[in-house]
Formats: sequence, C-alpha cells, structure tokens
Amino acid sequence: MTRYIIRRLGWMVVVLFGVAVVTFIIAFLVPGDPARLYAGSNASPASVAIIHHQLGLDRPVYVQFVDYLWRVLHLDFGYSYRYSAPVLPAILQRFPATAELAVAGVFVEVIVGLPIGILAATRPGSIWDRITMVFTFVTLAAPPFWLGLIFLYVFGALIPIFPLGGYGNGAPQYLFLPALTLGLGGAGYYARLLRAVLLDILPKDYIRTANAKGVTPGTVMFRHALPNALTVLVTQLGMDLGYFLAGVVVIETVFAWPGIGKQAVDAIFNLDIPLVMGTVLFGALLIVGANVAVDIAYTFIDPRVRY
Amino acid sequence: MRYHVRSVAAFAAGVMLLAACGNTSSGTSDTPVSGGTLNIAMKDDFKTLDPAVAYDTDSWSVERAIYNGLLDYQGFTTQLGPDIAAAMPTISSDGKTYTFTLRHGVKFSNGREVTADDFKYSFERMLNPKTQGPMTGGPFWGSVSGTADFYSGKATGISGIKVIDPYTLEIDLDSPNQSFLNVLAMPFGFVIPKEAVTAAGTDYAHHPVGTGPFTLATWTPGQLLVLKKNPSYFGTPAYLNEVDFQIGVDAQVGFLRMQQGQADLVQPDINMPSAQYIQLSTDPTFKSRIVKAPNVDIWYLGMNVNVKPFDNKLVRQAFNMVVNKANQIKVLNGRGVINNGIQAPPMPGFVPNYNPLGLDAKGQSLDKAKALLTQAGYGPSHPFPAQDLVYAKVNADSDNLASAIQQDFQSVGITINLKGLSFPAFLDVTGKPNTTALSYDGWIQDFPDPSDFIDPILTCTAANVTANGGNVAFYCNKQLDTLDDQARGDTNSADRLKLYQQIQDIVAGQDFPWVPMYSTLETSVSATRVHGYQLHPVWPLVLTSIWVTGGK
Repeated sequence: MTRYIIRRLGWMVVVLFGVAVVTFIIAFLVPGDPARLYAGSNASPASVAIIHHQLGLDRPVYVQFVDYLWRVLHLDFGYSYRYSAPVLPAILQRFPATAELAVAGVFVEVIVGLPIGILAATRPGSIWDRITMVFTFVTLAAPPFWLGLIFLYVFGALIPIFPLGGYGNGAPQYLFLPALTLGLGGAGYYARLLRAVLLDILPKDYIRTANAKGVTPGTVMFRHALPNALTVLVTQLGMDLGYFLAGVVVIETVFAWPGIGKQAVDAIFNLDIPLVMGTVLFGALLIVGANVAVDIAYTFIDPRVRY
Repeated sequence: MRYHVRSVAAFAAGVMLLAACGNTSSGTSDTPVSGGTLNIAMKDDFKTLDPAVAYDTDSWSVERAIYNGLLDYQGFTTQLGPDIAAAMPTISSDGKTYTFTLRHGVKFSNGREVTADDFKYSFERMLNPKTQGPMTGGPFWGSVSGTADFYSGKATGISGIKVIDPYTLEIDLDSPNQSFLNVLAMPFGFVIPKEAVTAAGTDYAHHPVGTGPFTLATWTPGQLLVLKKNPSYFGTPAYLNEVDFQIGVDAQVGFLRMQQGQADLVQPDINMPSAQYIQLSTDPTFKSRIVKAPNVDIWYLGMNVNVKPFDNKLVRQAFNMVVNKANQIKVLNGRGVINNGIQAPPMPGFVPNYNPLGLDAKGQSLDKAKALLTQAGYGPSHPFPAQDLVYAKVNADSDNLASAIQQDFQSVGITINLKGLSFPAFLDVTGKPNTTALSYDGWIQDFPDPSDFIDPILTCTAANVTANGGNVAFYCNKQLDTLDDQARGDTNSADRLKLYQQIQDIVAGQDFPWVPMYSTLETSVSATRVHGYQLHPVWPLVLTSIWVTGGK
C-alpha cells in the first residue's frame, strides 16, 4: 500500500510537470502581447517595450520556462499582471469560495441524484422511471449558465427569496442557488449512473437470497446493493470534486461567486500568463490529488481491492 | 484610449450636439442630501489603484475619487482649472516653462500636508521604468526636459521637474506642447505620498493613499471595494458617505439587481449593452433615467497602406465609398452619428457634416466606388481579391457590425471574410507591420485635445514600429507630421484648429488610410434613488455630484 501511494505520488509529479509544459507552450502560442495589455491598449510602443523587458518577456522562451519551473518548485508562481499581486496568494485568497461551492455542489449531486437513481432502479419501466428519465435529460441538457440565469431571475427577481448573486461572506442564502445549479447537472448524471449500476446488481444471487430471507427492501438496498455500487459512485464523486475545486467557471461567472474559476477567466481575457499557468497548475494538482485519494479510498470501500 | 473613455469639448458645435443627444444627467431637480451608500455593480475586479500604472476606465473610476492632481476639469466641462494648484500655472513666453503654486493645507488622508516634493516624487515614480507604468518612454511626458536621461539611467531624477520651494513646482519642457496641461490632468499626474508607497512595499496598488473626496476603506478582491467619505478633503465634500463597488457582477445580473433595488449603477464607465438598452428604453421606470453623452470616439476601417491591394490609393478611396455607415449606427440601436473625418464630436477641431468625398446620407457612393475599382485595374477579368476583415470580439455587437460591412462590400462584388479575434489577439495582429491588411478599429480620447486623435494613430512615429503600434494603417506622411508638430506648439487656438483641419483633409480627403465610419453615443442609467448622476466629458465616473434618497 505504502509503495503504491509513493508510486502514485511520483506519477503525480510527472503529470504536473507535463501540465506545466503544455500550459506554458499554449500560453506562448496564443497571439497577444501581455505587456501591451498590462500597459493599456494605447500605451506607446516604447512604453510597451520597456514593460516587456521589465516583465522578462524578451528573454528566450526556454529561459522563461526554466525560470518558471524553478520558481514553481519554490512555490513562487510569479506575479499577476492583471491584479498586480503574487499569483499563489491570489489563488489561495479565492480558493475557499471555490471549495465551499464545490463541496456544496457535490452534496446537491448526491442528495438529489441518489434517491432518484434508487427510485428509477427499483421500479424500472414504471411512470417513476420515466419521470426520472425526463429529469435527468433536462438537467444534463440544460446549459449551466442558462439554468443559473433562470434561477436568478425566478428566485432572485420574480420571487425574491435569494440574493441576486454575490458571495455574502459565504452565507447559506448566497450559496444555495449556485450550489443547486452546479449540483443539478451532476445529479441527473448520478441518477442515470446509479440506475444502471443497480439494475446490474439487483438481479444478482446475493440480493435474491436476501429478499428470499425476508430482509426488508430498505435493508437490501442500503446494506447489500448500494455498497456494491459505491466504487463507481466514489470514482465519479472524486473526479467531480477535483473538477469543481479546480474552478467552476460558468457558475462562478453567472453568480458573481469570487472563486478561482472566475479569476481564471479574467486572467485568460487579460493574457495574464502567470495567473493562467498558476491556476491551471493548481487545478491540475487538485484533480490529480482527488484521483489519488479516490484510488486509496477504494481499499476502504471495496475489500476486494488490494494494492 | 481604445474603447471606454469619453469626452465633450466646450465648443459650440459640441454643445449643440450634446443638446441634441438628450439627457446627460438624471434627477438633478431635488435638493441634495448628505449621507447614504451608493451601490455600483461592476463586472470585473479593479486592476490596480496605483495611478502610475492604471490605464483603464474601471481603475480610473475609483482613482478619480481617491486622488487629486495639479489640475482638473471644472465641473462637467472640458475646461481645465486648478485642483491642488492654487491657480493655473504661469507659462514662460517661449511656452516651455510651467510654474505652479500649490494650495496650502491640502492633506493626504494620512494627515500629512502635500508639498511640491510630493509631486516631484509622484511624477518621477510614475515615469520610472521600475514602476512598469505605461507612461515611461511614451510621448505624453516625453517633452519634459531630462526624461530621456532618466529612462536610460544616466540621471537619478528628472531635471525638468524642479521644486522651487514647498509650495512651488516648476516643469520645464524641451519644446512647447499645447496638450501638456491635459496630460497633467490625467490620472498619471495624481499625487501620492512617498511614505505610503514605502509602507506598502510592492503592494501599493491595493493600499492607495490620496487627497481625494473618498478613501479606500476595504477591498476584498473579486467581491467588494468600499470607499468612505474623506473627512479631511480640501474641496467641496461629497454627499455620499460610502460607495460600494460590487465586483464580479455580470451586466445582465447587474440590471436585475438595479430593478430589485440592490444596485444603483451598473458598470457606469462603459456603454450599456444593447440588450439592456433596448429593454430599459421601454421600461416605464427607467426609460426617463437613461442619460446620454458623446463618447468622443471614432470607429473606422484601417487599411494597411503597405499591404496589397491597399497600397493602391484608388482602392482605398473606393473602399471609402462602400460602407453603409447609417446601417452601422442602426446596429448600435441608433447610438451614434456618421463621421467622415478623423476627429470625434465634439472635440475641438471636429467639423460637423464633414464630407470630403461627397457621400450620400448613408455614407456611400457605390457607382463612384465601382468606377475607382475599374480604374485601379479590377473588373470581371481581374476580380478584386477576397479580403479578411480583422475585428475584436469585445461585445455582442461586434459580430453584427462586421457582418454588416461584409454585406456592404458584397454589393460591389468584393468578398470579405470575417476574422473575429479576442482583444489581445486583435491588438497583436493589427499592431505588427505587414500582418493585417484590413481591420475594424476604434479610438477613444485620452484627453480632450485633437492631438490625441493624431499623434498615437496617424503619425510616422506611430507607424515606424515593429510591434504594438496604434497606427494600424501604418500610414506615414511627412507633411502631416510637420503640420502636427506645428500644431502642438502653436499657442493660437484658432490657428491650431486650422492646422488640425488641414491634417484631417490630408487623411480623409487625400490619402485615405482609413474608412472613417461613425462616433458613438454613451448611454447609462441609474436607479430611482440616485440623483445628480451625470456623464462627465472626460472622467469615466464622477461620484461627488451624486446623492441618494432612501434605501441603504
């Protein structure tokens, strides 16, 4: 187990290095001069040239890359052109908001998706199954920005029971709509996934045995069927959490949620290369970390899994 | 400045146009009351509050409330007057030495009195390459004596900025520059205290200290920026106790907030998006609260004179007769006026109804255009090559405006391929020589002086660059440059304006590096509790005239 974890962590470093290389190359392939944007669009060419030099953008690309890697190893992600501030503290300052939204989004996915999936799986072909099918299609098909704007309009303006976006220092009433928007799409997917897995599990011999012994349907579901579906669900949950933690761009933009996703969008539009690279690397770290955590979690969930 | 800042000049044609545009202020009939909080929804976070660095209207909106300079525009006009200076400067007979006397008792919000040393420090810091500000090496401050040696490191200070005594500052120029007082009034000329910069270390951008009517109370990045009234402000105090900038709010949500009473202004430094303008124009509550003012901008097609087929003047002239300019304004919901020149209304030097090519009411002359293209050698046997029109996708209107151009050229048999780019990419490809043949461009004033519509975008200096040029046509005419130099130093206003009109004739009636199309009208709206809100001809936002009734 320990060797496995060490090996996985080793690969994590390799993956992150790969991400750093790819991000750096893409950032330099994108047309546009960061110094020009930093200086303002009508700064004179001479001013831009001076800032270009000051930012070190006139050095050969490989020198900039080696310098970047060296600094990253020392947890120095550079200086954001856009915000005139160091990158890592800027990301960490925004991260709690993203983390709060990510956890709440996953929570919505689970508490909405799981009961619907169970309902559909235990009554396949019924009207309930068809209704849940419609729910999953709608939530999966609805673009999050559209869903978010509709929620804002209905519950923020038409029936004003929630604020019209914003963070409100993380108060629950501010969190509700973005978490709901974020979680609903996933909830539909979870319901479909769980239905499919349970439809596979429920005809198995051990479930039939439990039913024959007179075990209550609830116990059969929660003690025998659901634990066997957990591996698939946890895999997806881990991926989702990692993805959400890396910044939920659209939701954060629609709801004025001050997380790293919104920050990343601003950075991209402003060619703030250090912040773009820092956010991507930070996001990759979270996604890869979540995957490793899921793999380790398997050993606790499923006794058949051994490393 | 490309996109954003606006202006009105105190000049007859401008005033007439302004009157024709409708309201420029809202709710001014009530008696002002002090107190309360103004809530402003902003889409993006502020880049910096360091006046040496900021070159965007979002940052300037806040900086204008925190800082002061030597001079400022009086009220809601483009007339310059003293601010921290006690009076307008005395200018030497050769027009090269400006002497300012400072007011006594003007204090920074940290309690210390402002002296001439603070201005010298602020100017030198702003121009120091280490500050990474956009004015370093640029033309605006380049006429101040000693700047070249300062930039190159040969001198530790700028010899042309002299402290005579604590209340007297002298600025020497190498050559007369009639726009220099406007340059001084830009936010780059704001005064800051050295001790605040030292205390903040590398993070002065987030810890500004100034002399203005407001001070920064808190700034939580990505969420909220709060300004509080400065009790020790030397001028007329603001009515508002507090201004809250709600950050990260999309325009659509911002206007919902306004309708729900949660926001008083939405992104007031830029034009209202078309969708909201259409919606609020018919809203019984808000339609009368929409304020309008000229944006002092010019939108044009830039034709690179060094790239085929635009190296042929006949082609450039023909292109000047094809665009349906009235249709462009229609796409903007009528928020603009046709402009066939290079100066924007109501800038001094703007000539109303200027029409050197005798175009029709739509801004076209299609038969003449076809004849010119034939004269240039294009016809059925030698069709005009398809052209890419490069444009920036900055808002929802960008694609529609470019599509309309595409259709216009189709009517004379010319195929235009649309190439919409992000703003950074657009600046990159249009700023490099021999890269872009045809681009959809715009220019908005830095300050209300006609030189700002020539120096950065039409001179040989602006064309002879390897990258980052503002002269997208890479147009260079020595005669124009000579006239421009002459105008810069000319102390006679009437003669100076005649020189700028000659320049306009050369560009729009003789050489045709552009297809000038239109100038836009800025529109903004405020919540019903807001009074005294006006669009300033230069500043993106003025808070001191505003008061609120009711609400938070």
